[in-house]
Amino acid sequence: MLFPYKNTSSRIHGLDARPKIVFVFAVFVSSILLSDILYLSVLLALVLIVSAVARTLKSTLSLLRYAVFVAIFVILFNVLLSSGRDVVFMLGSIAVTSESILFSISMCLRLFLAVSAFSLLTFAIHPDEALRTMSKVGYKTMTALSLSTRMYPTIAADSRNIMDSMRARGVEFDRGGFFTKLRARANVVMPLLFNSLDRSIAIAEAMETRGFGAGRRTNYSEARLSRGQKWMVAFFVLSIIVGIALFVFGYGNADYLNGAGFVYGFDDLIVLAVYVILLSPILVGGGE
Amino acid sequence: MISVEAMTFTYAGSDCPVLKDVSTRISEGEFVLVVGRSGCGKSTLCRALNGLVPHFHGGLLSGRVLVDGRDTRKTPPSRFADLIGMVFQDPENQLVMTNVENEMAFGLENLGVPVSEMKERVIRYADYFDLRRFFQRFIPELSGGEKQKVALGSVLAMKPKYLILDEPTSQLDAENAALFLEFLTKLNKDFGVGIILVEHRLERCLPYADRVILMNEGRIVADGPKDEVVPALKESGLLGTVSRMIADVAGNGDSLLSAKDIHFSYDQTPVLDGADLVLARGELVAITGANGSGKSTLIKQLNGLLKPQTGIVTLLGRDVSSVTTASIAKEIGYLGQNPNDYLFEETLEKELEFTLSNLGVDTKEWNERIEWTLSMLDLARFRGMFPRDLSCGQRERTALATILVGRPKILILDEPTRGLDYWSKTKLGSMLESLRRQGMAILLVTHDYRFIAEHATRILRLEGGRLLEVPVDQMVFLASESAATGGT
Repeated sequence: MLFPYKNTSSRIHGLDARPKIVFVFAVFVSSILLSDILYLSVLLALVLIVSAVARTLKSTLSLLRYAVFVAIFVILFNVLLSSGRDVVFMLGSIAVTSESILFSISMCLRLFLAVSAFSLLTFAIHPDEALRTMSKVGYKTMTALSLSTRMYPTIAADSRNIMDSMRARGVEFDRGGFFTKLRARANVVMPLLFNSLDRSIAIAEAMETRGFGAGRRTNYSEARLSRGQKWMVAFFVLSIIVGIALFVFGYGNADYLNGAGFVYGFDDLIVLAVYVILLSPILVGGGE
Repeated sequence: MISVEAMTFTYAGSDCPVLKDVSTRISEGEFVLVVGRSGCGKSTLCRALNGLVPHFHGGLLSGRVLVDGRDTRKTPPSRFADLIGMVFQDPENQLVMTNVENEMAFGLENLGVPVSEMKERVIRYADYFDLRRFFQRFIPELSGGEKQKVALGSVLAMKPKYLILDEPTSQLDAENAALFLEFLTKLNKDFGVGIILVEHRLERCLPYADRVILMNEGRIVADGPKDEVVPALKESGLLGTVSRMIADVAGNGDSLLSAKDIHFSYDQTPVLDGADLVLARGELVAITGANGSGKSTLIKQLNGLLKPQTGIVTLLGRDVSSVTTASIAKEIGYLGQNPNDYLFEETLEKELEFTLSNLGVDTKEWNERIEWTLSMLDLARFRGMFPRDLSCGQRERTALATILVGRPKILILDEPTRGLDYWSKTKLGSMLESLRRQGMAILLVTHDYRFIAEHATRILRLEGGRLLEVPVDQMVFLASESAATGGT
């Protein structure tokens, strides 16, 4: 398949889309609420374990590779511009402090956590299933998203055909320097845009004739959630509530720029364990 | 019953009505064929039957259309989905979901069909169309014929009383088209679905229809049982004898292009298995073959768009098996299946200048070349127009002009008659004949037997990865038989 969903059989793939979407949402929320490095590391490890169980770890890691580029920028930006008193070393006239280093690590972990959660959404939930689940919230938007997945190979083929037609008109795509190649490829944009516009009108017309937007829809794969999966959803929702409570009571938050360090009490470990317990039922999955 | 009463329709932004005082009635269970030249209003008429015209396209409509008593002016097209199904020309542009099972359920979900009934219908229609084995297949991976079947099955699962099909076989080979049309007949007989079929390839479709509507310039000029309308069809030139339109058939023997022992595979699946081809000056060679037999793959080997895995391609005595397409574009012109891939500039003139500039032709020659090309292809009056505003046949010729302006010695065309009406095809054929007589070597790939019977000097069939010679007389006989009787 040319779209990112991995059609493999795993316990995670065997789950209904609903618990998976709520899980991803819960992890997203935690990546916003939490800032403590220990909390973020434990959650990131959990998500990577889920990814391994879903047999999509390789794809997730390759997605994280792109996040590393952003992370480098985040680290440089914070290390060079943030203040702090505990100077670790001097970079010319710039003092690199432990506060800024810890803050950068925390920011990067948040980014990695969000990206890994997103990868589950992409690799372990079938786009059509995602469409159906989300359609109750905004099915027109979701249909547009599913359509883009469906049309990706078509537009890629369109682009190849346009390049072939350009080659037949004397355009060289593979010779010359970077800018020459870039200029040659720019020629493809306009016909591709025109063709895509034509297609979008034709598809809209076809969808209209198949009753899209006619009224209340039903859902083909509306399977009832098993009792186990309902419990999973409940646990994940609870984890969001716990996450908000943690935020309010100051758990999982570390103000590294103002000198916070790695000081943890027994209560921290309890709270972290509760968080993990609430999210880990996803590992049980839904059968392969 | 669909009742069209004195309907006149003008598209927004146009002064000229595309439908003029059209009245007709279509009953459930009829098989109606709607024919006429491009731009005669047949597609617009079909779109008016389920309210796409005027709701989707916009425009001014007078008169009315009633479908089982429902007025299309007061009801949006999506509300007709349970009554009228529609299948379009390009299956690529009507399939929405990513796999076949979900595609079949899409329309039913939109209609709010209860889940248990929906599952039963999806299974029943999938079995009827033999689609169960494709249920989980990613739609872009299906062949053209399979996609068209999925489109038809998905629409039929909605149990419409009437089915409108707008040139559904234009991208299918003769065999797949015949299968598709037999299927329509079965649906018509088994379920009593009213079929309204718009087609250019009359010789393919006529045997299946009970009734024919012939349109011309926005009006219905003949409407009745097939046998009664046949004289009008003959008079309009839609049905008739096949006549060879070429003189001095033999090329002058001067070989311009040759391909020897070409092998090519996609992912270990062999497509070409020792294909040999020689193309001489003054020849028009047609290549036929079933969908997926590798015709497009073969012609792409000849100008470097694909490189043969083994074998040699020689152009004007030079081995070109590993050169780029652009470097030989001056000698060998290539027109792909979709003319729109060639059209993006503001005017037709700029479109031709784009080619001339890429080919490095001296600007002093540009005007003379552009004038020659435009007059050759009867496009001079469109010189300052936006090419995408032109009709289907004109666009095909414009795309051809963007190649021809480079004055190649060899011209390769992939399905040049796709979507063209009989008159546009005749015009294209006579232009190609004129180029051939001037010494150009032309190679084309097509499913259109009539076109090659009338215009080809030599015919080859691609089968099992090799090219086999087909006697021209045999093709003329086949095409004549189907043109005279309306058989496939």
